[in-house]
Amino acid sequence: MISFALQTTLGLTRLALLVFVIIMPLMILLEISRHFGMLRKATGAIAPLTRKLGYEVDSVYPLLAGIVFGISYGGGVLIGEAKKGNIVGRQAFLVALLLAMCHAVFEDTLLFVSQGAVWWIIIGARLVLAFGVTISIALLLKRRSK
Amino acid sequence: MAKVLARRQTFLESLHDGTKQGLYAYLTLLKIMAPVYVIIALLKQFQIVGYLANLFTPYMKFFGLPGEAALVIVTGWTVNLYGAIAALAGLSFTIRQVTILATILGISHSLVMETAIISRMKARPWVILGIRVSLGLSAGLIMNLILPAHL
Repeated sequence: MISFALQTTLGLTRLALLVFVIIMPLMILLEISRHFGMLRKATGAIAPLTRKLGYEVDSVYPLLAGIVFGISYGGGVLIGEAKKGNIVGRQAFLVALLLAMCHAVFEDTLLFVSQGAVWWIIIGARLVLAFGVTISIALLLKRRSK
Repeated sequence: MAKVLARRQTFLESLHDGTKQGLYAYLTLLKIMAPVYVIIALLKQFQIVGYLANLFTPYMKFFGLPGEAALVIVTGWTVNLYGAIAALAGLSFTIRQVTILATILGISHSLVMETAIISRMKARPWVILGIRVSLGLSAGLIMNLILPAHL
């Protein structure tokens, strides 16, 4: 019983330290990049590409915000833009769909890497599948609405 | 000169904000991870993990995972990824298995909370929920087929 308690405490401490080492630097880095408006700059840079994928410029910012910072933040931006009338209907659905499958990619990937996962496989599979499914559905919806 | 000063302040402020947010988030996460880890440890101690794992072994084998992985997936779906990580840390898996689990859970996790967020975006939350779960599981099947036996 004592050995069980000791082992559990040790394991938990190890886990707590590991997550601390991952989360703290990441949160600080993300906050700094947010303050310097790096996302807005990135949005402008990839706008020509995202337009080809069927995303309006207004929805690219919430999309990127969600992919990097997480769904609560990206969702918050999306709801704000939707209220301003910048994103409507199908566009909102496509942004939400992609965000649902693919958000907070740095945080999620690092967490699993701390437990031994291979980072490029998990981040690659997630991006490819999420974008693949979203683009297919976008094309499908476009064809049906014609 | 003034511009440089203003920029430095912004940087320090963001450093401060980031640290504060990080600490706050970390404490919230600990409140989830600690109970999950202890519950898994108790289930293991009383041999309940083995019993539960046996129930799921026939389904998990399609994903190249042992029955125990079902506990991690269910925790990830219902609680969140931090809960899943705590369960994962309490059990033992190979690198290949952790990679497959990470792919499934990366695409589909925190389903209750995140579906609530998506419904506020007014974007057909149930359709998106269905797509996430089926894509997550399909990703696991595909990973098991294409990943080499030893990673």
